[in-house]
Amino acid sequence: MTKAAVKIKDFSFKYPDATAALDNINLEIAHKERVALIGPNGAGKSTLLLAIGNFLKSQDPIEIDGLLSTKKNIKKIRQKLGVLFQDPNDQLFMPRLFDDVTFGPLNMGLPKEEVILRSREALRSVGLLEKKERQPHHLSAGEKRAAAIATVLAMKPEIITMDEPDSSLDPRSQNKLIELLNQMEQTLIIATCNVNFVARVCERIVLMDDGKIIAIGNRKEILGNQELMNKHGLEVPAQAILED
Amino acid sequence: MHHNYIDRYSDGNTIIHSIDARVKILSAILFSIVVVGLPRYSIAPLIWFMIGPFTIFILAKIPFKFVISRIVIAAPFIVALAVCYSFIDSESRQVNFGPWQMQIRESLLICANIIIKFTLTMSALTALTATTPFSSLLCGLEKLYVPRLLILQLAILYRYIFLLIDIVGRYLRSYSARSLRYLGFKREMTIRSAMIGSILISSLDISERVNLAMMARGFDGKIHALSQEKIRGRDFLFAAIVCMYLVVLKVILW
Amino acid sequence: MHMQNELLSMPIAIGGFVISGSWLSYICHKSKKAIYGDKLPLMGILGAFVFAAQMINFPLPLFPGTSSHLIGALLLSIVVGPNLGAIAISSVVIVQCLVFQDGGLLALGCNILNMALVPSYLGYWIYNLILHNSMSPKRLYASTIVASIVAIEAAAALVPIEVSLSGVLKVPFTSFLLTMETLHLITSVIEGLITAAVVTYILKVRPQVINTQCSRESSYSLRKVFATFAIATLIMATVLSILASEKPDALEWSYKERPDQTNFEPIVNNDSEKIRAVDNFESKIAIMPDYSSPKAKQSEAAISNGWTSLAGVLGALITMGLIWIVTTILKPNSIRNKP
Repeated sequence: MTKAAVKIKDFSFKYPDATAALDNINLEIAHKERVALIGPNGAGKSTLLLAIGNFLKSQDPIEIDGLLSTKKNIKKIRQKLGVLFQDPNDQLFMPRLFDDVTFGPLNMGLPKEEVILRSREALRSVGLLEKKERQPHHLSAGEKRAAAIATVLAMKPEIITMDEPDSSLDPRSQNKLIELLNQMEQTLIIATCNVNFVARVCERIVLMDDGKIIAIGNRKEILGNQELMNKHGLEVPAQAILED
Repeated sequence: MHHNYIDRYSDGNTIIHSIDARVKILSAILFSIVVVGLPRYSIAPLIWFMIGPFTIFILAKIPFKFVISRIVIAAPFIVALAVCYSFIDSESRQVNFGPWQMQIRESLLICANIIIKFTLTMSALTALTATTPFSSLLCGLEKLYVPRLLILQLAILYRYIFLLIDIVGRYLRSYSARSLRYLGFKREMTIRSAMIGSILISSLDISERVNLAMMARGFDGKIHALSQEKIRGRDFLFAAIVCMYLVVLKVILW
Repeated sequence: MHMQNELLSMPIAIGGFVISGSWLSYICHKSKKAIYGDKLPLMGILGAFVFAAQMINFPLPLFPGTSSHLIGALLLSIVVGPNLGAIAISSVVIVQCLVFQDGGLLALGCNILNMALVPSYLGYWIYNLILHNSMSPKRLYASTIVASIVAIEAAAALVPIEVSLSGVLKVPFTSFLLTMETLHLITSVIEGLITAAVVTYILKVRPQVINTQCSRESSYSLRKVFATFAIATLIMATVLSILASEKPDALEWSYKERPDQTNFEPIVNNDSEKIRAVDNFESKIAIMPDYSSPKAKQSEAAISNGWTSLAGVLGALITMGLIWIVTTILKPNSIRNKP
């Protein structure tokens, strides 16, 4: 029997100031699947991604590729699961792009040749290899996003979570990003409120609001349902994209 | 916003830029030590020491205007001190310069000597930092056994200067767009302190998120470094030239 | 306050490196757990914060056209504790040297000591002594102002001490010291005001970030505060007068024959002000102001040789008096605020 990439059962989480962020979440994501978490601001999408990334202190366990989220497993899980944060500036913390990309593989304890090989490959796949000596603050917003993805790819994770990867990108950078995401073979979990973006990348949609999962379905079922989408503060994507 | 004025020339492509950072750091330190240790009254021979930094600026295509502005910015304190010192009464010394002979007070000589030495070591430091990207500088320092913790610190500091300066720039712009007059000391003080306070809070937030991002990539407190750079022939050559230059000057002139 | 290579002799420069290096590694060792836990990016980013905060200029009252800005050592000590704060400010000093060429390479050790380590710890210690566990606004202002005056003046005093010990430039020690102290007086008061206002703001917006752990531990009585201050000032005053009077040859070159002493301060001011006008592009990222105002220093230009040590003692007495007044005014508050 194959293990699910991510398995969440009856997961709840409260922030220290007692606001309920996640309420009884049940979700199973298979390998190689591309899942979108959509919902209005404050729906709990980012918190759920943090939960999947094992950054929340919660009693309820989450299974990543069959591994329970315990302290013992945390290192293994970190190698299987790559996390793309909302602001690429948080993810690119070294003064040189190449140092940022090698940061993860070095922490995995890989030999140096392997680290360099992987990092170059990751940079090539996002099209930034010739800019590897650049300083992150000299990159454009789209390049920063791509660079952040490269830092994750260099660790060769099986699963990647992304928090609003499309935010503050112009249409051209968005198209590039979509192309890149569609080439990737990893399990992708993408949180966003941009439905047009989601419709072009993900097959399965999870609609969240107020810390709960409202609906799970394929993209036509959810994104095409005008009444449901409007009720939760979202819009229906252009018909042409859905038919695509 | 463009921050090019901070590290404008360090990304250059010349032979000087390509020399290993370690060699450049050690050269700058050696140069400074030799210059600071020179006799206190001599002036004219010091000009020979300018040749080294001068050559580097030429080879690295660093405009002199930039170098001079750097030196002038750093100058006030030491120049003020030296100038005060020159007013102290002291014995006169005979100075011979070409056909001219004059009596100059010792303190004035020392003043000039110090200002020139300052210009020299400052040029060396500028030559180092203007031809070496900060990340290479850090790599070099790391190879010279500066603790990795400090190196990572400095790396992160340098990275986020630009981000936070952008935030401040936005605050200041939006403030000046809405404040049309001077609001009195107390009020201005409170507003500006609130700006600083909120930048401090955003810095704390950023650091929390960066910490998450580091953990997400398997950071467990051990700092690993990828040392790629090897000392090559040209680095040896550069080091040899610098040493020769300093030794020759020291021997010939004194 | 950044010192250049040429002001220091090799032994002093190396001594500076040894002291600040071992001090820093001791702190790193002591706060290892926090640093490698989750504070590693924090210090670097706080360092960057100091650079950013220094872009915000505070116009000075009374002196139109002049402005001051945050130095930050005390603020960071208050927010994250002196250990992490000192590391952050030290990184700032290093970057100022390596990127902005402020201060020489060889003088870096002494500069770290003067501008990062001493102000962070001294400021924090005095802040806690006076704050004394209460958080009333008056007390907060009083403690940050006194703390920043002491911290910055101490840092400013280290410069002439190190220069004199080096003996490269034998500027009269006492007048150099007095000049440095006067120049930094207004800056330090403003620094205290800014720090207090920022801390007040943070207490309003997000009180949990202020580091209160250490301040709880240090419950000194006011009497102890006075005793410490009295002893410290006495020691300082004695040492200074001895330095000033007994070793004229070592520290004060041709001490007796200086009738032109009165020229000394105006020269510092005029010249530095003039040069300062040249570098208007520093205004983008101005680093630690070395000057505060043109008016403040003229009063003490008249003080001549023999009067300096008397002035030092008087200054110490006045400072003690001020602290006494401040603390007595605040006493009822502190009792009320105690749980």
